[in-house]
Amino acid sequence: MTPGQGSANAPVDVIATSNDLLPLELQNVTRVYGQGAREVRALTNVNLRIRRGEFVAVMGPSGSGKSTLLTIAGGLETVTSGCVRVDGTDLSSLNPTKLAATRLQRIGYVFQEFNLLPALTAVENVAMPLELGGTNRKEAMARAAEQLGRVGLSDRTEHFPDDLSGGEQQRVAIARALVAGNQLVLADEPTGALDSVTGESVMRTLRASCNEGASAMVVTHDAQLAAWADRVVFLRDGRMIDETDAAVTPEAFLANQGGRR
Amino acid sequence: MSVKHSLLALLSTRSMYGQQLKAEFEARTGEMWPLNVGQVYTSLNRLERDGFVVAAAEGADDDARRPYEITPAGEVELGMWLREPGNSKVPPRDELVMKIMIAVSIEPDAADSLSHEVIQSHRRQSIEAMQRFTHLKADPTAGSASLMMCDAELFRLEAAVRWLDSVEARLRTGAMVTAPAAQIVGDDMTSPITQQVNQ
Repeated sequence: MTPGQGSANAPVDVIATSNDLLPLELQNVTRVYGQGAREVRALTNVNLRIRRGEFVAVMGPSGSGKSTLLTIAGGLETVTSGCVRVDGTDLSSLNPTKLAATRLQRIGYVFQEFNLLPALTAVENVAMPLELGGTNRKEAMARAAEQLGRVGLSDRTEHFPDDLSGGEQQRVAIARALVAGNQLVLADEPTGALDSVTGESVMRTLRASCNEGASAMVVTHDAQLAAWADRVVFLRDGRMIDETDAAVTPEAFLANQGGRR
Repeated sequence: MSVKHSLLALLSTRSMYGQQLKAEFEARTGEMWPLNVGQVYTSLNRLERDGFVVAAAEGADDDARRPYEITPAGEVELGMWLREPGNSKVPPRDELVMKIMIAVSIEPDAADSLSHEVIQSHRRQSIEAMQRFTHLKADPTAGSASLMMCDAELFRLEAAVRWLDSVEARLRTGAMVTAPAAQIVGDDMTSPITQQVNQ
């Protein structure tokens, strides 16, 4: 993998999706709010690279900068200094129209409160990003139905959000986040409104999406949720202070357990 | 964990040989706690001594081929054991808790102090252990017993992480107050706080 390849000099209207490019790269990202005595440093020199198929969780207490990190990664907020690249494209090099297009096509969002439109059926909710991107309705609906099948909801396509359980609504939101071929999912406490077993079904869905090649960054303070990730990074006072080691194989782990008990 | 009583529970379903008991125990606890056959027979001998199981003598040529069965006294004992509280009265001596309490007492307030470093180190290791249990749980072939065992460990580890978070938050929000060392009266080694919890 070549970091930063294509980067800022790539023509913005040819957004490459080569496997060589990182779905998300944050380089020395600093975000400061206010000035002088009121200055608040939300993020300081954050470096984070997410590989294709990788699921990264960012853990930290309230006020550690988690949400700022997510909005900056998604291009909803700008950096004070540093650089955010999505599929190798520096977001700061894009004009507002191109930025909006990149967000729509490359990045899917999943929020704690599902954020589905109540007047639309599950399949219409999922089809929406495609229709906004100019896909005709028939094709959009077909692809949306297919995507719902991938998250195990092929029997719920015509249901309205109110007729779905919390876990099902969140899986619809994941389907919507991935439908446009978006390879990067950004999620903010996606299981925060769900009980633990339902939350687990949502995490299984997200995990399966990453196993199929999507990448995810989830910010959370929930250790059980974070444990689904390949890598957990820890944020404190806007700085990345630590991260987990690459997971050992389960086999080695079990052998170790047997010896310990 | 009481192997003895777990074996009694298995024998309450049907009579079994030592080897069968070992296999059943491991399957029902998600293979989290492997047993050796020696442990099984030691436990069976104790249960037999206490009158809770009997070994069928008829037609048996050696120990390994004697099926064991539960006695009425064993049924009573099992019923009591299943309902009696676990070790919930006296707080267990948790090594993690002890280490953090000691680290905090050595250097309670500097921002990048020993405490924060020790807390983060344990937080990371707990989450790494949680990742491994989650990995086991994600295996589509995992059975219910294995899923429940993984959940038990995940909730236990999560509790540890949440406790670490709360210690850190306390360290950040205020100066730590050191209470005077408790006086030990007479030969009673129980601290006042333990006495209160155990009332």
